[in-house]
Amino acid sequence: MSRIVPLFQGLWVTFRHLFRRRFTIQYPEERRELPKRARWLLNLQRHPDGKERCVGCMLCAAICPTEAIFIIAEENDPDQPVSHGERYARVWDYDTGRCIFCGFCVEACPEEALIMTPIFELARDSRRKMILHKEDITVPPSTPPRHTWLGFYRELPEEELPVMEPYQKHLRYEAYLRGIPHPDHGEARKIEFLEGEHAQHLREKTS
Amino acid sequence: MILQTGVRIGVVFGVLITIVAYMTLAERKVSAWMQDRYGPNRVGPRGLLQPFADVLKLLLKEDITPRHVDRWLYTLAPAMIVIFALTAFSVIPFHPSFVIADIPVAVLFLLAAASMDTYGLILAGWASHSKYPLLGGLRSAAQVISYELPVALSFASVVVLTGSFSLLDIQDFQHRYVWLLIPNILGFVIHLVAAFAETNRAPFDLPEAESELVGGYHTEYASMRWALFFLGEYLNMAVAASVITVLYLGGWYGPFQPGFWWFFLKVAAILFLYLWVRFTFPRFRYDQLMNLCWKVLIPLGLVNLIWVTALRLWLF
Repeated sequence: MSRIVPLFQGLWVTFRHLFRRRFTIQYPEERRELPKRARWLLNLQRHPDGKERCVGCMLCAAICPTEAIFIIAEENDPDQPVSHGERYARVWDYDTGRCIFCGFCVEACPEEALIMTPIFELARDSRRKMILHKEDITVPPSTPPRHTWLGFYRELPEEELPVMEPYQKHLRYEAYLRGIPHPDHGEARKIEFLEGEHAQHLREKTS
Repeated sequence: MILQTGVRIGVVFGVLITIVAYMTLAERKVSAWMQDRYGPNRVGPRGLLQPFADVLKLLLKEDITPRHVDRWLYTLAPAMIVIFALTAFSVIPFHPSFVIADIPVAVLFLLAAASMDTYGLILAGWASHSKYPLLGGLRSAAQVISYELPVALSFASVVVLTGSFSLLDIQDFQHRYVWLLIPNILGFVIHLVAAFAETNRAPFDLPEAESELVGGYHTEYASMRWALFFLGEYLNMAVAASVITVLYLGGWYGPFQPGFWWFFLKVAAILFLYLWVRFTFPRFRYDQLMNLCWKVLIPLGLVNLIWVTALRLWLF
């Protein structure tokens, strides 16, 4: 009897669970509240007068550990300046497929032009579509500015700041992925993932 | 006459395939509910079209035959399982006006069909020429040989009580007196437990045992052939549920309005029991499985046989 009763106790437990509340969150319809410090997609901010904050200094592109940011800067037209500085970013490409959301670019930006938003649904069906351009990520003109301080590395002594190390290796991998000929490889793969200025830039860097 | 039988076979086959399709959905739904999840709910309203999506996926998958298999037996094995499961259905009386074949030794026929079914599993394990399927096949052989005995004993108890091998006579007996569940409760329990083992369902799913044997006997199968194993397993569950319904639960008879729907209601209840048990109990160890069969179920079956003989002599 002591062996048979527990069988029915077990059945009773599972039977009760048939009618319990479900734990599953039905994701596309139901969403969890994001944490307050959720940081995903980058956005470019504007000054209150509508001009762009970015001055094309390329510090963000320089610190980016995955080279997800690609910038071509240009002199401002004195009559119709795009930013408040001497230069502005004519091209500001952002590869969400590469970005690891580390926030270094936001830390690096001297103009507080970059912020991280809680937009996290970044999946696309091709690599090409994962590359966002300046128009896609610049906030609309009347958006109030937001502070960007993340507070990760400000307290660290300078020599302990994270340094981007594997630059050359990284470029070789990039070249391999994108099918661009590289001296270390000889013949590259045939698939061309990327065209345009970003690819041109990579070709120049790698050749 | 032939035409009528053909139509009946078609109807039974169609209904069975639908039941099997929705059993897969029910299995996933019930398991989900018991684990506080929702289960499939994206294809169609409340996920009701999920079986069709599954079938479509299985049909479109690549059918891989590994190079090292015994090709002939490898192809035959899944077909055998389905064929013998369907064969067993030919003698099940769904209703007095709806029996495909009313043969006088239907009970023996059911036993034979159920045993033949295991050849499918053993052959699949053997023909795959790979260690896990072979282990699964061997386990299935040992398991079925053991559990045939308690099933046969409980069949015997029913036959002794009713004095007939014909399922229709057994139905009449239950209508005249009482559902055999009442006088033959021990036989019912033994049959129920043994049926779980015969159909390789949890907690006796040792031939499959995905946590130990990868996929057991169907490790090397893919696509529709793999699906045939599943079809066979669910058909066997349906056979076992129907047999229990016919033998112990009075078939199509109910407290009111006798008819088809009583039969299906009872079968559905037993099928739900299958799912319920699967998601409640952990798998038996191999020696526990054998202990349960030889040291508990068979002695109990023999005791039960004496009990029903006594009943037959002095009561009915």
